[in-house]
Amino acid sequence: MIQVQGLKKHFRFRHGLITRLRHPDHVIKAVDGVSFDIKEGETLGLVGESGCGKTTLAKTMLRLHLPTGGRVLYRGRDILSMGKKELKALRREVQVIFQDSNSTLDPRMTLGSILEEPLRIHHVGNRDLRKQRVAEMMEKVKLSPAFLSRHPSELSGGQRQRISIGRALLLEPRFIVADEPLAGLDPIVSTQLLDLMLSLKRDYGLTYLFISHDLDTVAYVSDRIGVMYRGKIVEIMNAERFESRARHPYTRFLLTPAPRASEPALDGGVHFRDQRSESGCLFSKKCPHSTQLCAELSPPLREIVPGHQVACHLAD
Amino acid sequence: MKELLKVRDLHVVFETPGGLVQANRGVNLDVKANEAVGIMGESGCGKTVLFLSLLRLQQPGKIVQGCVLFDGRDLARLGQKEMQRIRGSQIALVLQDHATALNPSFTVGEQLGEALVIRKNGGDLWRTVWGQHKLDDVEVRREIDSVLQDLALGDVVHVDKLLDKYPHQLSGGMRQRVLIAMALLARPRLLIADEPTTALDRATQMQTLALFERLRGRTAMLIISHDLDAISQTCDRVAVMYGGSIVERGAAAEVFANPRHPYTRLLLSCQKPRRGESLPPVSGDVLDLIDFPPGCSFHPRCSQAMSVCSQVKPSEFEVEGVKVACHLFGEEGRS
Amino acid sequence: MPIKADKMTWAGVAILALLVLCTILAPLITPHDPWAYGRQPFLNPGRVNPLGTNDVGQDIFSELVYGGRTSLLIGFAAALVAVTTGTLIGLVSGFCKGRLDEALMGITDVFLVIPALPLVILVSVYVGTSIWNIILVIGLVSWPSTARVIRSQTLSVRESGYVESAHAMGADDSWLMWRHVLPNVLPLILARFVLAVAIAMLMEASLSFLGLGDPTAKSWGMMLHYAFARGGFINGLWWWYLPPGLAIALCTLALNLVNFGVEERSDPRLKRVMER
Repeated sequence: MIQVQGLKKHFRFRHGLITRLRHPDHVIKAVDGVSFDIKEGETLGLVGESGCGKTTLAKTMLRLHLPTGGRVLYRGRDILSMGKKELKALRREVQVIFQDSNSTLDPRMTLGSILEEPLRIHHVGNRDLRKQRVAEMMEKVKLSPAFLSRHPSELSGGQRQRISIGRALLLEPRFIVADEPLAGLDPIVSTQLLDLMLSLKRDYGLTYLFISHDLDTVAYVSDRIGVMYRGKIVEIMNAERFESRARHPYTRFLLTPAPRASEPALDGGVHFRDQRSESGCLFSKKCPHSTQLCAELSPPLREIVPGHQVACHLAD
Repeated sequence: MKELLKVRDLHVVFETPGGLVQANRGVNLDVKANEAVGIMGESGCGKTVLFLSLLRLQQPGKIVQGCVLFDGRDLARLGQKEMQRIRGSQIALVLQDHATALNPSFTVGEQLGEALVIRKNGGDLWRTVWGQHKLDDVEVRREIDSVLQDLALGDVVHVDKLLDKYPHQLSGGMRQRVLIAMALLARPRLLIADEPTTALDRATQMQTLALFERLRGRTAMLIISHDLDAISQTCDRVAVMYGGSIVERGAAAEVFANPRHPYTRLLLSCQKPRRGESLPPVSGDVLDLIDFPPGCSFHPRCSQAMSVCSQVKPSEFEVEGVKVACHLFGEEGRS
Repeated sequence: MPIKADKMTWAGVAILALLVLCTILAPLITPHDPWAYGRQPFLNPGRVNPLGTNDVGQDIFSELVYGGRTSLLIGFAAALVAVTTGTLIGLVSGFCKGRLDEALMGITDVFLVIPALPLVILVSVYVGTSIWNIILVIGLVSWPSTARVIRSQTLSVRESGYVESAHAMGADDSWLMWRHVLPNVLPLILARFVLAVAIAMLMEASLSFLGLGDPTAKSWGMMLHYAFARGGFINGLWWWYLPPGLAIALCTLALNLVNFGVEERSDPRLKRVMER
């Protein structure tokens, strides 16, 4: 259904002339050559730590950022080459649920109008029909209709996220990108929302791209899992037996349970400060198994077993 | 071990235009010297108000009932000046937001030095400037080194370089560590950490937890979190909070292995969903601390609620060393 | 705190309403035609002339009330010009970004840097001093700061999550501008407008005081000008220069009070009931 081919998104910095002469390559390669497919009806989980580029990937995939390179095919059609009309139709079929519900809902609008908005943008039905659809959606996300006249600030984080989900579903899309939908929510509320998302997936026959830094949730919800590190996908495989079968050293690092104090910990996270062109595998500096080859040559994403791709020289 | 902190029947309320918010409704808590206690609960349960009240920083909330006995003294009844001497030096706080907790205009070294000097002088400006505890640079440096040594930061980071850096030059994890170091500089009897791992990514979380583990046994700690991993790794005992009161408390290992209170069981079951299993059913929403249901605050969401639960607020019953505030373990439950 | 802000706002609104009402009802409350050359100049306040007469025998009280019309008119009109221009430029700049933004802000900065009053004086010397010219000139000089502020707000709204979400839903630029950016920038526009009126009035007063006001119209500033130029200050005729001065001050105060309230109430987040 969705095919991402060699997608790149580089951010160039606009500095003054002198800085540009001294540092000609100041580019942040947020997404650097990413390729994967998402089949219709499946849930692809995308996992990675903050700064790895997963949000940028999601936005670039949907043409909310303009890609620096690569293609994205939606049901065979290249998203980049779509005209205005086709793009608008695309936006109906592909919806996004963003991370911070506080900022994704217009604070000055009532929840009723927030929910109605997608219908109005795409000129669906008349006023009554829209109100009816909105009321039905409130029921589906298990929120009282009394909330319709309230403002986002009057709701809790979990409730706001339900509105986000409801809003995404009003146009009956086929594909939903959920970028950290459970971030910042308590475990119990999180579970409720996850349950909601799963039941809605069944009811509407949706395809999901589920992005999160929480491996446990992703492993639970996905059919396949992709792991991202510094702008590249380092591993994609079936979620079934993910814990035991994952091969890439970074994935294995993510899978280690909360460690004891004695274990040496890898220096946290991802920093884009040193973005001078690095040759070789981006993880090699921190990888406990890295070799000379790793430092010199960047490993491509290769299929080692049908359905399981890894970008590592040592995967075989 | 002697009890360092004893909170008994603490009631803290906030008057708001929307009604009276009862953030803490009869909280009982014990922390022994040199033990680590975790407070586990979701947002809106009152845990933030609880620890702020310990330091009398809960304004505009008011402590309307109960006592906070720290080393025998009731903190709820002390004057501001006396509280000032306790804050920072006897009880230190590490806040959640590492990004804004440090002053961006001063180097790490300067801020650590400042923390040390303020605390030694009991937070008093005059004494700091002219008082007997005016420390010189060598002494300050020595203390800082010693704390950093305790935190085993000496091997991870070059201390000289760290002290000259500004907060924005450090990573989030590093800043968090600086904040912890700042809190430890005056050798507090009790260290309170608010959600120390929540805003961090995995690797940094691991490092921060490792830090706390090192402190275990040397300082009394109160760690507030909704992250099971954080608490199970660092705490000896845990208290689970819901709707403004503690619903279950006891040895961490015991509570996590055999959760007794229905809310604790719900909370634990939601932590790590297992593939192939269905998600635990959750009904209802978080309590808003203004409208409390009669009786037990959890009963509308409880699958095992009995008739008494909607009438009488349960007191703490002791079951195998764990104190549970649930009728299932009281008279009616056992019959 | 919100309650206090309300009281302040209402106080400001009340004062303003009163002043405006008085100026509208001028013919009803003034005993004389302000332009009529009365009997004697420099009369002290008395029964016939509540505030005495000026140097040509015109009733000061009538002058005050009628003058209010001019001052308020110029204030509101100039503010309208300034805020409209500033808002348009700010919105376009913040929304479209890129080269257009740079160009517009370049122009804005130039105007921002030039000191207002000297510019106004210069321009009015050239174009003449009719009321409409004054309005235009004051408006011309005041729009840059509004533009900057509006642009700032527009930029931040533009980058916000809800605009992004709407964009992801398929909304086009005009939808985004109309339904999301504008409503969220509007409170700021209102606040700026109120402030602009106060500034414009003060500027008009300054202009008139310096003698660059419209001689064919009476305004509070003009009254001050004549009071000063024709010996009112020197002779201690406080009933001549104090009332217009106080009127200006009162008006400015009222506007600031209203502004305070508008800013406070414009944020729906303050409607929060629950304390977390």
